[in-house]
Amino acid sequence: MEAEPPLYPVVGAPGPQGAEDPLGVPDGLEAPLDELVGAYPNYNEEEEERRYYRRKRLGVLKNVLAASAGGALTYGVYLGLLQMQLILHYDETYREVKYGNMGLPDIDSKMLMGINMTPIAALLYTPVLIRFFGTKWMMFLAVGIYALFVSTNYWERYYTLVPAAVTLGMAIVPLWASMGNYITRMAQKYYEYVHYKEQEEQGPRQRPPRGSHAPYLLVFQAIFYSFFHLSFACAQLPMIYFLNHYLYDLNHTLSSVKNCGTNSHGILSGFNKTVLRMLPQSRNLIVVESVLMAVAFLAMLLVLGLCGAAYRPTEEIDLRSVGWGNIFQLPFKHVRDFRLRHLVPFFIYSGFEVLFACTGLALGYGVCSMGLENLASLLVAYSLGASAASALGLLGLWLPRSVPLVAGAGLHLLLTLGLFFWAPVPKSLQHSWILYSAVALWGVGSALNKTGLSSEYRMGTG
Amino acid sequence: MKRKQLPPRHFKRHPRAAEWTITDTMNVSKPDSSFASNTPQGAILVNRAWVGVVDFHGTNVYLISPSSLEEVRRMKRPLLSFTLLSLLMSLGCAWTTPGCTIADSSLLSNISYYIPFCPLAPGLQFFASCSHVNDLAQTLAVLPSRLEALCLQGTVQVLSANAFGRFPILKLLRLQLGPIRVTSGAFQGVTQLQHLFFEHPAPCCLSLFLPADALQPFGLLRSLSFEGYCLNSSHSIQLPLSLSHLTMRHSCMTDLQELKELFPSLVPDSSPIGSSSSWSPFLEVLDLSANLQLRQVDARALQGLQLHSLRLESTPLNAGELLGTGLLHLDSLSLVDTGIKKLPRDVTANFELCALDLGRNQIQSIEDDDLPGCHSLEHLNLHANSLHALPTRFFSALPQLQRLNLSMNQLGPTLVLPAGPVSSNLSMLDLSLNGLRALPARAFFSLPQLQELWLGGNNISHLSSEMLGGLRWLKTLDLNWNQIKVLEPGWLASLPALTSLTLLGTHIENFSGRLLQGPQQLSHLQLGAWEFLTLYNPWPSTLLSLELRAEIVEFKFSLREAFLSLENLALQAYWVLPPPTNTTFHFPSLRHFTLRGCPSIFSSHHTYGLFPQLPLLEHLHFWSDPQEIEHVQLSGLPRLRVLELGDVTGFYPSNQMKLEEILMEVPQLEVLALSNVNLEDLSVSSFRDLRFLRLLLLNSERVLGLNRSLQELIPQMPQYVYFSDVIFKCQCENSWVEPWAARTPNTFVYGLENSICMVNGSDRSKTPFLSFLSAYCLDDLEFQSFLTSFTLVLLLTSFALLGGPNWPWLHHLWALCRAWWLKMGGWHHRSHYVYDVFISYCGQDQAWVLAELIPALEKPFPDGEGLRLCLPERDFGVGQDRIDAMASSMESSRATLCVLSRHALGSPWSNLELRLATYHMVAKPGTARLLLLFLEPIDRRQLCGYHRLARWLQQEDYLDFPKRSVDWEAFWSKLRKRLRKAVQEREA
Repeated sequence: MEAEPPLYPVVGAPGPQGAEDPLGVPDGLEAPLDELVGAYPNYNEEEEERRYYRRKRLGVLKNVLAASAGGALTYGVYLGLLQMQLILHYDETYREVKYGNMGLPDIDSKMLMGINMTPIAALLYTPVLIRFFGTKWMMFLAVGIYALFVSTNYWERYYTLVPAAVTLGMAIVPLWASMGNYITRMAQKYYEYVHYKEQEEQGPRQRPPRGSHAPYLLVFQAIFYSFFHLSFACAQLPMIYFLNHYLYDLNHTLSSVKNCGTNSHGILSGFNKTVLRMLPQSRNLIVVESVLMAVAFLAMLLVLGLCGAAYRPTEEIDLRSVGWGNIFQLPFKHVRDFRLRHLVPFFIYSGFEVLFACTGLALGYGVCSMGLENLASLLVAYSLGASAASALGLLGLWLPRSVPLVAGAGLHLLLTLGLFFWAPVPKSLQHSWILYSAVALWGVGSALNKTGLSSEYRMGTG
Repeated sequence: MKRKQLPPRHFKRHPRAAEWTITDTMNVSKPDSSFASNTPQGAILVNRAWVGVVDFHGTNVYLISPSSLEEVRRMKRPLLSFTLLSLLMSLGCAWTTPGCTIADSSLLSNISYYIPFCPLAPGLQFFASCSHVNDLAQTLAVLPSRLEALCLQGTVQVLSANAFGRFPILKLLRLQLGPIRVTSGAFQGVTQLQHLFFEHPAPCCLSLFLPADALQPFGLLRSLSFEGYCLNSSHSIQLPLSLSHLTMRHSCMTDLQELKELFPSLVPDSSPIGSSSSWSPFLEVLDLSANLQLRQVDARALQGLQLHSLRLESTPLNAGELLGTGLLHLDSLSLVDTGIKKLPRDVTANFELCALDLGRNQIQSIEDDDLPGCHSLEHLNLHANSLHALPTRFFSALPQLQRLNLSMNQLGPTLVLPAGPVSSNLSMLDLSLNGLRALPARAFFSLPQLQELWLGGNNISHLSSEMLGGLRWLKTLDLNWNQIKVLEPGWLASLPALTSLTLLGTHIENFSGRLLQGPQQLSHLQLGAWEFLTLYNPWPSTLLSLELRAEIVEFKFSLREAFLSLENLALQAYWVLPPPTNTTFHFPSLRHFTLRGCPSIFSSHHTYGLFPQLPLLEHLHFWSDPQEIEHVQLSGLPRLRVLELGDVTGFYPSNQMKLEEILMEVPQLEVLALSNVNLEDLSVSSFRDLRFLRLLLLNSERVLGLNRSLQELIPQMPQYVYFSDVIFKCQCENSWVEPWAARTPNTFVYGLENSICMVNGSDRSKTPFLSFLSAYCLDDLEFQSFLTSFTLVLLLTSFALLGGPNWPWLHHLWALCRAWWLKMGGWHHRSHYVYDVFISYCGQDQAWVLAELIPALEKPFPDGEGLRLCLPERDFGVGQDRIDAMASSMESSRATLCVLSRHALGSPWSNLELRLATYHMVAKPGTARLLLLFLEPIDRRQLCGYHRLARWLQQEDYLDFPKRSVDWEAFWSKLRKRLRKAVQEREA
């Protein structure tokens, strides 16, 4: 294959006119002025433009990857820390020895409430925040708030944890809303950079036809969700490399657990009040938290440094063009769309299925049967299943967009039915392969659900 | 290598060390207050000494019931998921509380040493004792709720309602709380209570108020005791029907009638209308001892009462008066220390008493006349009287007699027992401490049913089978502390049923197994000599328990087959000599093993071989000198549960001992008691394989360090940890101890509060350990990390947000902040302005400007204003473009003053300057100040080109120069004021 001619003259390289005249331009005083200031004679505008847009497209890809990785790292750190702290705080001995009469259960419940309840109010202020800060900066700010939450876990007190949790709760919806918006916007940009010629013909200010960026959006969302679901696996790293060494085995933790799965009352009744065989030293905990803190910091830098702006400064469109008066109506704007109204049950279901995977399935079936020491591997299976299956979202390229959504729901329905009739034996590892596959399949369903739902939503709104 | 006595320091300091001395004298010096305790003590002593079942520090003696180890571990609590976990969790509670001691007596008997005022009832294991109680509710809130026994000492005025509701299975409650008032619901919820004691250690009397229905909740109460209390303010207390023991000691009772008023249900209602039909006797034992004022006995005070036992020890009550009280039935009467000189014949006869305790009285002789009424007696205690002899008809007059205690009398030097009918039922005879020197032949021939014979503490030097003849059923023979030197072979030939023989404190030096021939089932043997004890073949193989005490013990026979069935072995000797040929020990069924002194037979190279030979060993008590302990390595003891290691000498510091080197392989160890073994450091490896350890007792340790790594092991640490007389190392490595001791759930740590710490061995500062930790070991690394990371994230976020996007609001904010900052700092931004006022005038007015205006404005304070003026003619640079210079000077002046006259309006430069100033003012409103000074009245029409100025200028910006020179001064001041204001506005 013949090498492409360089766009610009290269020193020492043979010019198009031959080696005698390296620049191909007469030099010196006698050279005509317009030869010096005019365009390069071999300047290929088409080629130049093509390369320019290729660079732009690569930049968009980099943005998507950085945003996805940043989001995954942030969420992984947050989940991992929360999981580790809750397990540690669950242990009676650890709680009493380290925190005494500080009232840790109360603090924890308030913290969880702060994280879970505050987002309800987020419908009101999320558009305002994104309008005010812009998509990228909102993302950065929210990741920073996650990092602040991680940082407060060094020094667990009521006045650090609860405010941090409330702030985190406030940042959850803006983070993922801006993240989704960012991915959608990147798909639009990618479409623009691919179809730059058509745009030039149509005129610069013409918006591309509605839904034309759908294929790119599907791909980007598959990438995003692959990363996002990997965060569940990342969250298990503190357990795998640190906490598992301190846990009792299943014979102790499940000593009074009688029933699992469908036979059990409550999620994990009879679970031992002490789960820690050894108490981690505070210095070791500080090391672990420092690693988590460093990763959160890295995520911040990733979003800050590698994610380009979502909009050009002059591009006052979408959210930023909406007036302040209308901004509060934005969350309810989509409700007017009857197609999106149909998605509301799916949104609710989408939230609860992850909750079920992490509590009912992982705890009531998995931990109840295989012990706390296998929780990490179960969730890793879920995470890897979901991450791999996020690629199935690409089916939307060829099939109707609702197919993944319905397939995910169907898979979950089948699994739920199967689990409903199954009660694993407590303290036994013989069913582990069933549990691993069930959890991984649930992950597949989750991935289908998430990708399908968000592409439907983004198509509907975008 | 001889030592006459163990170091006295140690006797004081540790209960186990004192045990031997106490046991030696116990059964002879302890006054038997009841017959019941006069059980075969020799046999039990063996058990006590090894199993450790005796509480030598309290007054009670009891046996351990089998421990239930897994009880604690099985606690079912509901659990929710991790996300909701905290909503359901109940707070755990740590047991370690200041002033309270908690122990489980099933683990190690002498734990009660650490609980001085809480003697227990038999069968109770889990107990707590709190001293200096002031706030009862606060103290009780932290105690574990499954307590079986609770002792409280302190000062509490009122026992409020439901005070003990937290302890549903409480069975014993002992209150030493000073004068106290019990409210009616105080004992609600304590339905299982069996023993209730109100005690006051000093004798009579504190006031105690008990409402009538206070004892209602008790359905199972068996004993109720008031000691040192005066219940005068209470009356009509309802006693539960289950009550069998009622004690009123050291009370202020003067009349037995008071008892009836206090407890109306005690005696059946005397009135015929009363429901006497439903009354059934329930009280069995009434203890009215030590009531020093109880002299008066009203007739019918105990009308209708049917008692099993009545105790009137040290009470100045005449026993004869009991006859008039209306007491219907009495089996046992105790009249200890009441100064009686004769047998109370009438009382005995009247009630047909079974048991009579007359200990510590002054009965010097018993006449035959006294005896006829006493034929019903089965138990008679004449301990510590001054009897010289028994009447000849003694045994025939007391045909029912089974147990007779004659200890501490003066029946010696030669025993003369009255002959009795061959059918005498006497089974126990205690003749200890009677100064007996010799026993006549067939001394006990008249007592064929005798099963126990106690002859300890006499001066008997010789024994033969003839002396002991006729004792066919004798099982226990106690010959401790006699002057026996030699025993004849076959001296036990007439005792075929003997099972237990004690020969401690004798002078026997050579003891052959042949001496034990005769009894078929001898199982318990105690042998003690002062110096040498040599044992010879043939040794009986039926022994279950063997105790040997001497300075030097020598075995002259093979140890391989001799002890095949031995279960308990106690050796107290400084030197144990094995047979020269075969040193192998073989104890296949040994369960309890006590070693004291320095038995060098178990020195290092032997111990390796010894312990693997003990497959059933459960209890090992090893008291030796440090060199021996150092070399102990316990392995191959699969069933060892209790291990006690101690340095007997306690004199010289030994090498540091590593626990993990001793405890090689003892997987079932539950109790570990270490005394004076010079542990340096406890670390994780010390507890590596001790999964079942529940009690750790460290006594007399110096400079003990608790490694930080132990913090990790907190969940596996023993449930009970006792630090007794332990000096810690003053180091922050130990700082984990405080939260562990104070807050770990279901763990009790004793003895940290008062312990001290030392920097090293020569430190004498006696720093309290806990205050050292709180003063020097503050670990705030977590807080520092939090602050650092929090600040870093905040900085990164804010810098990125400030520096990244081009926020319009940010610039406003920035300018505002900057201005505010400058204002705050008091700095004025001078660099921008070079001049205060730019003066614009035309050439015709120059003379006036130079002569009048400049001096008035430029002259320094106080004559002038000291303003820096810019005059084009003076201040513009040479060769500078005038327009550029004009524009820049005007820029760098705070205000512009235009001197207007008709000439000026005609001058192009003046016009230009005025226009420029106007432009500045319009372009930057509020920033450029322009003042107009009219030298002469000018027609408004000539100014029409500047009519726009009127929109921008205020009234005070126009100044007219007065014609008359009188007004000039006022004008100058007005102008100066106006200019100053303009300048100040700009600076602000």
